[in-house]
Amino acid sequence: MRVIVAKTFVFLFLFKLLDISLFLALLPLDQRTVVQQGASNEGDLGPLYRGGMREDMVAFGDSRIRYQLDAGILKQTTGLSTYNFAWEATPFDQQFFTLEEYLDRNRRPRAVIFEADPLSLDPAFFKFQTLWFRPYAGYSARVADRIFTSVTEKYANRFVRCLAFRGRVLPILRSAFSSRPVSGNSPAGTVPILRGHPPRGLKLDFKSFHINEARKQGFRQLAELAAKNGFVLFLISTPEYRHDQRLNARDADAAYHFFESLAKAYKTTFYLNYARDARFINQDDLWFDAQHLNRDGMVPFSRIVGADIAARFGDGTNKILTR
Amino acid sequence: MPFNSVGFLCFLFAVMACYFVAPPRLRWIVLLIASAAFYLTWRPAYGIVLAIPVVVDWTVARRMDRCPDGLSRKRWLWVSLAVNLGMLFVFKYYNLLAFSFHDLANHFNWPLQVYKVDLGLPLGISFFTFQSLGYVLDVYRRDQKPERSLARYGLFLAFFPQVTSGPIGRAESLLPQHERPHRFDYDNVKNGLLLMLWGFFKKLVIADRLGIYVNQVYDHPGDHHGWTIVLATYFFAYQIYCDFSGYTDIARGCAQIFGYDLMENFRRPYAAGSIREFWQRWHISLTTWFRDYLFFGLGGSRKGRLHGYWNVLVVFLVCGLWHGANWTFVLWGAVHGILTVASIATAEFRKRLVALTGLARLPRVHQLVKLAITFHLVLFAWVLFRANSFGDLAVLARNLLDFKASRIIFNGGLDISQIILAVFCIVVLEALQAFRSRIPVRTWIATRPIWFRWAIYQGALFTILLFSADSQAVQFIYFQF
Repeated sequence: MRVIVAKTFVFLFLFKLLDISLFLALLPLDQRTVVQQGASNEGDLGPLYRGGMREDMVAFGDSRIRYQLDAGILKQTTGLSTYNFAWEATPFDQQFFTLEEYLDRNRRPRAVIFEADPLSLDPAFFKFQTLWFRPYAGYSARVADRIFTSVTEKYANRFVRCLAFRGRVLPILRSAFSSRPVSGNSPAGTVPILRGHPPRGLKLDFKSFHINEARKQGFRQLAELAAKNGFVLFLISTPEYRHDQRLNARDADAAYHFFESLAKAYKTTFYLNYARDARFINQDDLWFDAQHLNRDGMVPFSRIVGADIAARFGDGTNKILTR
Repeated sequence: MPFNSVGFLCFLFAVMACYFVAPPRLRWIVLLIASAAFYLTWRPAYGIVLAIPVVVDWTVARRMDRCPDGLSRKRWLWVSLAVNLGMLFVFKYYNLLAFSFHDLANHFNWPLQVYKVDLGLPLGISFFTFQSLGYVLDVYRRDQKPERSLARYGLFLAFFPQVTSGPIGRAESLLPQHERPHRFDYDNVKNGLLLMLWGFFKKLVIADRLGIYVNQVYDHPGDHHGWTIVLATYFFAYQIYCDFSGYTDIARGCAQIFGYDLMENFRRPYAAGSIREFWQRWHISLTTWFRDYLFFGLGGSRKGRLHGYWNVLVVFLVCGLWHGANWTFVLWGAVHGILTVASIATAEFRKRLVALTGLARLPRVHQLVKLAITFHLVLFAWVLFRANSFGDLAVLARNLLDFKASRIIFNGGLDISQIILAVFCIVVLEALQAFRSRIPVRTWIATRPIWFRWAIYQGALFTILLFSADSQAVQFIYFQF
């Protein structure tokens, strides 16, 4: 029995020794990774946590902002340096969370683009993706609180330090030893939207959604945040392919009215609604799938949005635009 | 308290401490208390669902044993069947059947109102119900003496390593183990922990990683095409295998620590040369259960070849339904049934074909061809298994053939390096399994010098810690069944 106890202690001692050694070896590489991850402007949160970003305009949303608004084109048309943080299937609360994290660590932007998809008002559609924030749990108490929901996980991370890098060793090693330049934005037109057209006869999602009061309150808080921090908030509803096929028109109208009322109520909030913009919604050649413009659609759309933002920047009189 | 949680590891070490401190003849009581606590942590109310077969089947078996004639024995058997299958029906199948009838009635404009039963699905119900039914059937056939102690029978059904997802134990092998006093055995503890480690590797490093990709594709079938679906299907084959066999390894390792030997559930299923052989290697405890209690119960192949084929089909349909309350599972079972019947029926023809093509002279090539064909047939059936509904299945079938609009890889939380790592792990898994089929890996490691052994143990631990998929505890797939 004594031999077993002794062996166990030696084994655990060696385990801890290796744990600390690996932690100390990976930590500086991980910090470097966090700095570099934003190099490709593919929604990476790296630059945000590096801190000190000095973008004039930042964009938040789901894939419809990620693939349909090109930061480079927006910069060309508005003259404002832009970073696009949008990511696939991101719900409103996650976008808001990211914005708060951004404001805590970086220079206040002059403008913020925020997706105003009617589905943003229904929490049933997308769920907060804690996965994207995991790498940054060690750098933000807010993220740690959000991600480590179970007591065991909190303690496990404390006792076995290596767990901080769980599932991230490959990205850490890859980024740490690569020579990607650290930059905020990729050149215009390099956002990796695919070329293609919507499959013919595709049955779209007719699901009705329910406007949630808490989400409406969330948007009001967003508008208040903009007023308090002195940046201009652009709420954008992106084009809907053959509009009424995806959304129930009545519910969608209720959502658009809400966004309009928000823009009316807050001086620093603008609403740009392209949901039924005839230049896009019925042009099959401009779409990749039922919800995303392809490259041929994304480039003109980004230019139009850029021009509309430029026209309204600093102009508090023309706050609602419906195409 | 899932196996892949820190809570479970703490629980296991606490149980180990209590178990080995207790006198050997009382150790099973420690396990009984631990098993009850383990099951009740999921949802205390479900404890009643587990207690029902414990009490009913223990009583039925004892009464059956005292019955003088076959008729009264049969009556008691029917009581047990009614209670066990009734419980399964209420908790698992009522909603499926009720709403299927409702949809059918709607189709023909017949007025039919059905009510949804929202009781949830008690964890492991399909497993412990079948284990209990197997015991009652054994006693009915006089293959097994009834257990005298209700508490021991309770432990037989609720034994925490296997209660949630099997392996479905047999009374003849498991009940005597509960009666035997288990002494501390260093090799058992070490080998048990190693087996658990191997199970965690399969679950956390391979299955959970592949699951990220598979879920993205199969939960949004309309968004994906061609190669993406093909890759996701290959990944699903290994996800479900690593998930379930990983669970089984953890369960078996856990039991081994306490001196128990649970039956093997998987033997390299993807190395099978025919569908029939696949089922001799996949979920062995369930397959043998169906063989012994349903297939033979229906008469097996004794009443002629056609009747035998019919019985195979029935067994596979029930097997499909056992997996879940969804018609896609029934279809999956039906496809496997048809493939198995075809495999049996064409055996002679295939032999002649092999001789004719000259493959018989190249046994390795022949084996490889058989393996590839079997694997892809199984793969095809996995699509039916994983699709969330018939609607999704139709979308998948249409998009699968659309190779123009697809890129093979997308970043759904799994970038190219993660995919390469997953594929590399699959290769390691298959290589180790092939190696194990010749020399048991644990025995081989045990004969190496201590520095080598410990390097392997520490390396395996850190591999799991560092390379496990970065997602919160993902439930084992078979927990839903």
